[in-house]
Parts: sequence; C-alpha cells; structure tokens
Amino acid sequence: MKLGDSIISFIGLSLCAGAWVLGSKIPKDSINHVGADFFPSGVILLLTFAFLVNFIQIIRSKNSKQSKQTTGKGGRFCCLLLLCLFYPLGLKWLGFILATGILTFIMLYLANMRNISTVLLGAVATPVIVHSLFCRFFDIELPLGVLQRMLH
Amino acid sequence: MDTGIFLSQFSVSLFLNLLPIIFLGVFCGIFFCLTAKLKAESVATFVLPFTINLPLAAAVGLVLAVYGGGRYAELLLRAGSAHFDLLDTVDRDVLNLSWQDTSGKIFFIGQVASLFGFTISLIVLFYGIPLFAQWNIELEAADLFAVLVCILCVAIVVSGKPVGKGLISALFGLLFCTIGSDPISTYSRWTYGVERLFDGVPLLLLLLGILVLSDVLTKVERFALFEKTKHISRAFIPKWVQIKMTLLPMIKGSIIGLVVSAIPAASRAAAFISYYDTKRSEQHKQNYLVCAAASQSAQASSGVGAMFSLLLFGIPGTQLGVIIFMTFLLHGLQPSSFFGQPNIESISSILGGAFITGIVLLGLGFCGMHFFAACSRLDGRILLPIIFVVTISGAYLMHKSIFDVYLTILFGIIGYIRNRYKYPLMPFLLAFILGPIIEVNLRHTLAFSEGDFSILLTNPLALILLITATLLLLMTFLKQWSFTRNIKGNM
Repeated sequence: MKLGDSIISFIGLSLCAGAWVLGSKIPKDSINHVGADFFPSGVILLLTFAFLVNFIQIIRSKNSKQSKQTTGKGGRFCCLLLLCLFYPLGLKWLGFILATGILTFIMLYLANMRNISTVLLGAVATPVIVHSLFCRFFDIELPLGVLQRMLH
Repeated sequence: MDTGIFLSQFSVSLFLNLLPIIFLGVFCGIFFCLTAKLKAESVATFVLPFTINLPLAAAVGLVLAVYGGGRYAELLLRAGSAHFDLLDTVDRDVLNLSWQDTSGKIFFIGQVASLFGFTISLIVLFYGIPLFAQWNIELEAADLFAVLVCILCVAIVVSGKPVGKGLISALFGLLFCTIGSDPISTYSRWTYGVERLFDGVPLLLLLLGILVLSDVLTKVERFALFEKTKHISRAFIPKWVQIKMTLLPMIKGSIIGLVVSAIPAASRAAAFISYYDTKRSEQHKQNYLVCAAASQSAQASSGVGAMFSLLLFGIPGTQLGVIIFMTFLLHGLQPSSFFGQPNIESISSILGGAFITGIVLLGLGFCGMHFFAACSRLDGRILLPIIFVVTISGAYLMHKSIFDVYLTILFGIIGYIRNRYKYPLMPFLLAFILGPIIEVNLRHTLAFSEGDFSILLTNPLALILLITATLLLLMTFLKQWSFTRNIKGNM
C-alpha cells in the first residue's frame, strides 16, 4: 500500500511536470484574456503541491494490516490493467467477438473461476449474446475485425 | 411557483406508465448488486446509456429505481453477512453481531428507517422547493467563485479520506475540465486536434469509466473476499417495544439528514453524525437496533435532501445526484442554473420517480426478502465481464466512435487505481462538474481587477468563504496529522 501510494504520487508528480512543460509551450499571445493562462497553470501548481503533501503523509504513515488485506495481490492488479490497455487494441484488430471472448476468459480466470469448461462457455456465450443484443435492439454493428475479413 | 404544478404533472396515467419500468429497475438493481456485488451507484450508471430513448420521467424513474434496488441489496448483504457493519468502516466492533439472532431484525429496522427518512425528506422537498425557488439571490462573480471553492473543500473534508488525497482528487477533476475549448476565448486546450474533445471530456464516458468499469475491475480482483450471505432469520419482525424505541431516533435521524444535506456535498456526514449522536446517549449505547435506525434514516433523508442543491442550484451533492444530473443532460435539460429558477419538469420527474420507487421497494423489499437473500448466494462472477463489455458497448453506442471506448477505458483505469488506493470520488466528480463555472467566475473577477488577485480579499463574503474553506482543510489536515502521530506513538 505504502509502496503503491508512493508510486502513484511519483507518477502524479511526473504528470504535473509534463503538463507544466506542455502548458508552457502555448504561445501567450494566442490567449488574450485576463487570467486565461492562470487557470490550467495554477491548477497544475496546486496539484504538484497536493502530490507533495500526499507523499509526505505516506512517508509518515505506517502500513496497517487492514489496508494490506483490502488491497489484494499486485499481480492480479497488473494483469487487469494490462487487460484494459489491450482490450481496445484487440477490439480494433481482432473485432468485438474475439476480443471480448479473450477478455471474458481472462477476467473469469482472474476472478478465481477455475472450472475451465464454465470459463470457456462464458467466453463463448458472452460476446455472442451481447453482439446479437446490440444488433437486434439498438441496430448497432459492433466491429467484427478479423471475422469480417474472413467472412468476405 | 406552486406545489399544485407538481401535482398536475403527476397524473394517474404517468403513475401507471412508470410502474412497470420502476418495478423492472428495482428488480434489476437488487439482482445485479446482490449477485455481482456491485455498488448501487455503479448499476445506476450502467443503465444511463440505455435511457436516452426513454421519456425524461421514465429515465429518471429507472435510474432512481435501480439505485433504490441497489441500496436495498447493499443493506441485505450487510445484514446477512457474519460481520454486519452499518457504516462501512467506522466502529465495526459495535455491530459485530451474531447474525442468526439479529440479522433479520436489523434488516427490517434498517429498511423501515430508510423508508421513514426517505418519506420525510420527500415531503419536505415537495413543499420546500417552491418556497426556496422564490428567493432571488444575486451573487457577484467573486462570491460565486468563493462559494464553489468552499463546497469543493466541504466535499474533500466529508469524504473521510486523507486531505492530501481529497485535494488531489479535486484538482484532478479541475484539470480534466480544462480539456476542451477555453470557455471565454474558445482557444482549445489539451485537445491535440482531437475533434471529440473540443467540447470537453464527455461526462457520460467519465461516469461509465470511473463508476462502472472501475467497480467491475475492483470486484474481479476481490471477489474471493466476499462472504456468502447467510439465511435471514425467519423471525425478522422486531417486538413492538423495540420498534417503539426506534421511533424517536428515526425522527431525529431524518431531521439531522435534512439539515446536514442543506450544505451541498455534506450529506455523506449525516449518517455518521446521527449514529454517533445516538450512540453517545447512555440509554442507547448498546442498543444496535436504535443505532441502525438512526443512521439509516439519516442516510436516506440526506440522500433525498441532497436533491435540494441539485434542483435549486444545479450542484449534485451526492453520487446519485451526479447520475441524475447526467440523466438530465442526456435529455438536453439542465436541472437549474446557480440560484436560477428550477426546471419544473425535472422536479416532477424526480418526485414522481422517487415516490413510486418507495412504494415498489416497500412491497418488493419485504415480500421478496428471503428470495433475494437466496439470490445473493448465486455465483455472480460471470456477470462481471458481461457488465464490462455492455458498458463499453454502451459508450460506443452513443457516437459509434472507438475513441469513446478508449476514453471510457482510460477513466476505468483511473477509477480502478482510485478505488485501490482509496482516493475519494466525490471531490473529483464535483470539481469536474463545477470546474467550468469556477473558472469563468474567477476570470470574470480577474477581468474586473485587471488580473489583480487582491479583489478576492476586498469582497467581504468571498473573503469569509475562502477563509472558511482554508480553515476547514487546514484543521482536518492537522487532525489527521496528530491522529497518525498518536498511532505511531502507541505502536
């Protein structure tokens, strides 16, 4: 928890630095209204200050047993983050049905469902049902990706 | 404005039209929250993209029904678990009871107290809004800026998390709302040529990501930690003496809820204040039923009471308020501008939806208690990826844009990290919604003084409010600091 919080604060401070650099590249004469340059810059400055305060608070606090229990395992957290990052890419290249099938499989496995036949059934049924529901009720064609190319 | 206007809007035909939708909403809310263990706010947000084609009254009714069902499910889950905690984290030991004897009774009293607080607030809302709407308060730009900053600070303090984290959440919200066109000069900021961002970050995508996706991801990670709900005891109706004992705390809790919720964004504190107030009295120190009644009635009454700030000033004081605010935006309506005339259509839709939801919850809640308790033992893990995928498809459905999917997932990741590291949500949402008004008013004030910030110090009301806001933050920070030091000293 303490390490994770410190990492978050560090990333936050880096983001603030990046935002500051990007904000300073905006030509001043492009905004000719009083206080226009203050609002984003002031917010970034305050955010940097808040991250520093938080960082100090984290350093001063101690790890408690309860926080360790509720946070869970780091591996699962990283897997879910990666899954979220890759899902839109999969949606674009593989299409809705394949990407959703893979996502469902991994998600159910990460949720401690160890019965492979149930997980597989869920991975097949979920994308097919959701796709047909959206096509029928909302008249929305979700991207089919590879499957569409194969069908053509 | 007259209360008769609301009554004329609320006819028998509307009641009959809304009843099936609300019944379905309540049922879905209870089912999803019980099986997938999602929060009531997440399920209420989940239905938002599908309310676009519904009339406003039905859309608001559906959202309220799903939320009401979700709250009922949360109460049922807590009452049926071995470690019953009414107030989430505070004072777990007090209500650490043996579920066989008490779970049913606590659930019954909790449900009655919720309905009691809810009804009292609804009546006050019904007669209070026309009264308050007649006030014509005109604030200067500097005052309005100070009022909004003060509200943000209240949200940070009330969130119950470290002030540093609350500040980060609020400032992140303010930073996100600067994405898009500059509200005065229309110069585009942080958009990098992405057309979809010129009007700012869409609130619906933000809510879908930060409330629904994040909750699904959190539940995937922690599903194994959930206890299965035990059978609710058959003898769930308390004795008349016990019910009589809870009446006064219920009334007191409802009043506390209403008074606290008058301060925008402070309603979260109502249940805690009412609970500790009841616990402090010698008479009820060990009486868990009375404590449960007091806190539940305060929570319910503050939830409805928070609608005051939404309908009168356009400030959503709770997460439910934010979701209803979004429902209005989806239907092209603004609940109210700050101290402007409230929108009658929006008020009657909320009152109608809340009224019917209350009736349906009363019937379905008590009749189906044992059925729902059995439902909670179903394995709802399969629902989590389905909800994840339907949410993303719902985000795609709005503009058929893959960019919306990216944005929703980005907010989902932010929300997941927020959940995991316990950054408060309300300051973020409130800052995101109020950010543009804060910015415009600050810049108008600075335009008067040609960029001189001392104008904020020469205006008495603005000065008092800004000092109050600073003191609130500082005092809470110092209190938390000394608390940490005491813990370290005792270790």
